[in-house]
Amino acid sequence: MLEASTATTTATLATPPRRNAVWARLRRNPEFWIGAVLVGFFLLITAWPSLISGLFGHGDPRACDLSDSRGAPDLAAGHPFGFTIQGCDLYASVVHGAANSIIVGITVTLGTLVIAIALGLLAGYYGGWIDTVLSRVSEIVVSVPLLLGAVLVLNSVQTRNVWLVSAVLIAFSWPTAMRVMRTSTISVRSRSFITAARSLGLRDWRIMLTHVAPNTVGPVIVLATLQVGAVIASEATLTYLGIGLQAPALSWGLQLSQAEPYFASAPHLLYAPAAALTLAVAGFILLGEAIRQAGFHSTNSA
Amino acid sequence: MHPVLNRLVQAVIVFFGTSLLVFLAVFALPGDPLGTLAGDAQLTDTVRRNLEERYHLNEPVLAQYGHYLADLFRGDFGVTISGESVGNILANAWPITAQLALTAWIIELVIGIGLGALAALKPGGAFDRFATSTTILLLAVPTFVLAFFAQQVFGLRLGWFPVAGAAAGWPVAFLLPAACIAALGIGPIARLTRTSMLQTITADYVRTARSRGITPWQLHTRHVLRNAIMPVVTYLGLDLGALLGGAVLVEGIFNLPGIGRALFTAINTQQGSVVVGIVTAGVFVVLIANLLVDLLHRALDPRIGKETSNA
Repeated sequence: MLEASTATTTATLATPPRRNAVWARLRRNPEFWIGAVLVGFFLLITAWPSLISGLFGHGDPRACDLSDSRGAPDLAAGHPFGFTIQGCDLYASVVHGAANSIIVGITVTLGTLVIAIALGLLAGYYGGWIDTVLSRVSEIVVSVPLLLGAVLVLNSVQTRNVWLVSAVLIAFSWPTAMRVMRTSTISVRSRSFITAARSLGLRDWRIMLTHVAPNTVGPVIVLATLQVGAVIASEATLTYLGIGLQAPALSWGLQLSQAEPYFASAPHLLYAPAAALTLAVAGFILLGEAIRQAGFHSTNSA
Repeated sequence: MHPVLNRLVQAVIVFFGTSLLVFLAVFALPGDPLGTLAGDAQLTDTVRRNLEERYHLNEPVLAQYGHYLADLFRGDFGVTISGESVGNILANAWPITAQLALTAWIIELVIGIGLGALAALKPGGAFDRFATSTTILLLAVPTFVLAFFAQQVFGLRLGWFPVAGAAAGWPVAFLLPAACIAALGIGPIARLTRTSMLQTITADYVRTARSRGITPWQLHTRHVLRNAIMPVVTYLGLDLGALLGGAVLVEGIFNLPGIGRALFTAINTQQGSVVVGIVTAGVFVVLIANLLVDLLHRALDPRIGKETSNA
């Protein structure tokens, strides 16, 4: 969509980063491949957890026997990571725990993108009092540290699910991307193709969506890919603190907070969820970083 | 308007805005604010009435906000359900958190600037690539996971550092938890230092200095690094919020009696009024720190005010 609409409106302007050139750079970057494989794997087990959760044993994170509580890993018996406090198979729990982390990561990123693009376009395109109000509001929200703000709101809610946690994370994380969007919109606003579109009598919303946005969303999307990992870490952190997802939800943050009191006697309870969380965050960060580098070089040379 | 005055006015607007945001998040969201403030405690009618009076809940929302602001200006951050002043809790806990944040800041700065400056000496070289991948890996490990394993390995197994508590005093008791918080800041600082040094190296005054024949060491420390450090100073101010967030986690795990652990305990024992008081104080500390860093930045670099006065 990006390529097609820019081609019709800005044929004579500087060419946007070529898809081929970006892909060529990505392809040579090992970070990209490691990130892509990790992200692909976690997306796969989000969609079909049963695909690999049954590889060793019964694969059901809800089939628990309290007499197995904190049992040690036993590959032969079909429990490679051991048992949780409640005696559930830890391997199946960790595999099924991916979904919540990934869903929060993607929901928050998409939500942040939509809000940031919409508000950034409005502020940058119209300027004036709209810009003043939106910029002040973004300054206010950005000065509340994410973790403190989320603690404040989530602490006063009794039942919390994936969507609520996502909404709160979105509410406190849109300003950074919105400012990037605003700046790039301002830089495009006075270009001749916008003036041309305006003199043709196109409506403002149409100019913003079909002429401004395609030329300005690049940096915001890159910023967003870089943030997916941080969002996943934030969800686990909030859940670990006791104000994110609640049992019986399956979540790495929950598994870690339940295992923490036993970390001296049963450290194996911490290893698997911590490793899964770290690998998921690392995958998204590596992928985002590779995309940033590939995009950054091409905009520089354009 | 004078740029500094402009910045102060802006800070005041943000102050009122954030206080309104905090207030709305607690008292105006649908639900029972008293239930939130009391948490698990059973509310007798007398306590309920006292709380209603304490938080002026029977008055209009705007009046409630006015009272809330007036309390803040008096340094009154509310009381726990048993009547202890949250201000007292804060006063006892802040020194610990300040020591922790300061230690984390120092670690972040030394390692971050060191990595960034060395990487900038030979961009694309082996050390540059090593520094980049290290900083990405540091970003990938969530703070509390890092804290668990640092505690396990360096505290419990190797016994190099105290496992928990602040009994050993500064800096020994703070090094391990501070390093865990600092890990997230090292990457951005290293990257900022690297980029900004690479930009500075091509500046005219650096070429002039080089042509005078000074040693590369003098060139890099005296001229390049000193001027390239500016964006890092700004970042350090902005990073305080993240440091406080990290402190919440790490103080809970390492059992340091700072505001983070107080907040952690308050969340787990469902003492809403303490949570609100601590978060409010935290937000304002971050606001004031950002303002100070900004003013300091202007004082050090007179060009700043001129660029942004029309923004």
